[in-house]
Amino acid sequence: MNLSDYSLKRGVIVSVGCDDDTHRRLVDMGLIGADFYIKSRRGGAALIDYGDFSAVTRNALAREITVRER
Amino acid sequence: MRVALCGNPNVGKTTLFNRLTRSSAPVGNWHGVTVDVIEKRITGTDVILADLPGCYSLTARSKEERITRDGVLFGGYDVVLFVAEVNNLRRNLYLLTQVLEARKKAVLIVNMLDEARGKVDLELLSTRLKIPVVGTSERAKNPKESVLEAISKANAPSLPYLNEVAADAVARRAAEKNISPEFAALKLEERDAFIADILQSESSQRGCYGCRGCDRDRPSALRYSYIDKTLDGVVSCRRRYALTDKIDKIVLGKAALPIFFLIMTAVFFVTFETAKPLSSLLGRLVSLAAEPVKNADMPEWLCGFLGDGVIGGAGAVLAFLPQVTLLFMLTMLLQDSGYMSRVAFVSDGFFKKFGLSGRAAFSLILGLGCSATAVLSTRGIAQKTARCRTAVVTPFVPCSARLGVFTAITAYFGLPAITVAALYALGFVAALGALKIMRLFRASEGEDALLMEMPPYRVPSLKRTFKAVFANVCSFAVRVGSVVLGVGAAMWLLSNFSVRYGFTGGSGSSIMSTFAGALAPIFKPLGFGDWRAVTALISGVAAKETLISVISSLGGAGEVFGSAIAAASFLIFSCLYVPCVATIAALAKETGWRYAAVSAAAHTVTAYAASLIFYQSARLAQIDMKLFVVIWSSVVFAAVAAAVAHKIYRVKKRKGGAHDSAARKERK
Repeated sequence: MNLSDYSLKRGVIVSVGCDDDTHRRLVDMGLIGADFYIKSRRGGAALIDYGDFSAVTRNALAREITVRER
Repeated sequence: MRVALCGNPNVGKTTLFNRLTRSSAPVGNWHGVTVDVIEKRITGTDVILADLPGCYSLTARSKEERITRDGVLFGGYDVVLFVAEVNNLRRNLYLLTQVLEARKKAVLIVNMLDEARGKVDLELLSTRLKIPVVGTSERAKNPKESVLEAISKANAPSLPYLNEVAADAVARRAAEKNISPEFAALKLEERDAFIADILQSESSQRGCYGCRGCDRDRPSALRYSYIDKTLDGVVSCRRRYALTDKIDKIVLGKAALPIFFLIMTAVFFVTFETAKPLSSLLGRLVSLAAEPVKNADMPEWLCGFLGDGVIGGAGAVLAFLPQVTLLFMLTMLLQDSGYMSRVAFVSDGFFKKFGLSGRAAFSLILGLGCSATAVLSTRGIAQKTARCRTAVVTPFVPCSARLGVFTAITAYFGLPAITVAALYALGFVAALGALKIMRLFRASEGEDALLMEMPPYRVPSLKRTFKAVFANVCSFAVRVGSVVLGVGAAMWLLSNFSVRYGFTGGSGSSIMSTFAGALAPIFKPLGFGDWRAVTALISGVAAKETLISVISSLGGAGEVFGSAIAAASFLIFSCLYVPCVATIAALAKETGWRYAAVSAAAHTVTAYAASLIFYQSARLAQIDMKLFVVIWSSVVFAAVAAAVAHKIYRVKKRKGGAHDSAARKERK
């Protein structure tokens, strides 16, 4: 299940895909294994709380993030 | 000694820099405020402190991140002063581990202790990291002494996990390039193209797209495992950002857009209405100051030069200081509270239609203050096309200098306050229109997939706000006292002297009237074919404030424009035409001279077209209302018909495409 299609509010990030640069950034931000909470969805993006920080995540990126229920 | 201030974005690096060096570099509760290196001496010492732009990792993605990476690795700094936010230590220390891998001497500053969501044992953290750790916050006393002491004890410990890194051939090449072998080995494992290029490594070691969880993530796993062990027992009892969650529920909910428009309307209403009495009082004071000079017992030209060219010109701009101050203060409060970052999220879907992300909203909103600063702020946008497009259209947003021009001319002709709001709206619409046109010529590089971090809401610091407003007001006053005064005085002299006759008293034979008079017919169809209006427009290229300064010194708005319609047409032109020299230089720096030239030309052509349409329509409405309605109804009808036809064509094309692909599948 990817983050874009995920219907629940909370979950855990399993892995991230994306191109090399973006993959590196997401891994550097400590996303793998992080708990998340979807605060708000708007148009093509969502505001997601990744535990220590919140970030706007566009759907194109969310599709590359594999998640599971906590 | 040279020290680099480094850390993640929005952790308070520049605030600390300002405190240590007694500077007033711009700060804000959002990411990407600092886009270049600022160097200054720590007061009373020989330590030069360099404030580097924020970044998450030494694998750089955007221009500002490359500046930081190059600064840390090759800047020749003796110590890295690493700033981390107390509530985000885990992620912040990730960059610190890379600094230590690169064998740089470091000191850790744990900032925002007053906002800590739990207890933090700094002594234990220092023992585990084996580097000095200093705790501080904006409300605590200046940490200069403890920071200097820590700098003298800075250390470059070897991280335990580096023993696991194999570094053979890499080690030799890295040593030749003066890079830590372990750091180079880890970066190569991560497929870092920059380090691979430096070490002339095999191209096969570079990225593999779409891979999920191969060993390129091993270095980050090693770092995070080390950080987790380090922070175990250091940080305890974490509470959530409860207030931020509650406010976000309201401002990012269904009413997000109405709330945004309400806030912006309130900002403009307070800016114009509250400052009006003070502004008119300042205007009267300037007239009173100029009166005795004009009537003094001196040669006529000197009285005119000092009274109109110097006091009248600069005073006309200074009279709008209250409006400019209020606009600075309110936008600063919004930035400091963290709301401006939310605007990026709220507007993301909207900007997507124009091939940009919500990140572009930052630059456009910054453009309300100063266009040159706003253009520089586009560095944070990673994709080149999106960055260039945002930089090119940002000067369409009216800056604070144009605010003075709008307010002065609308006040003179008694135009309603909504005229100024309409001019701001026109600026934004022009920016969006230009983006749409640029998109027709060249498609975007695809979506900017990056995460855009949202800061928590903070109660704006009044001290910091007033300091920033004071710095901006001082810079405005300095501009008035230098560029505006200089250009205004020069324009007055050129407009009142002739090579052949000497002092002409502003008659049609002066140097400027001859030169600007030759250009004036171009502006006749726009309603302001007067050489004095053209002179003002020419001077406005130096700085937009000089527009009103020159108009005021050459007889005033009433004499120059004659009618409210001509003045409104001039306002439209001055709202959109070529940006000031500082902005063009910033554009050239960020995007190259070609883009800067295209931007200047596009601004002027748009300004001419908008003014022409407005003035000719207004005149037509005055002369023949029936014809005016017929023409504009036809234009609107044609536009709607073209939009519908375009939509139908796109739907048919999409259906055709779907049919073709289905047929292809069937054939297969």
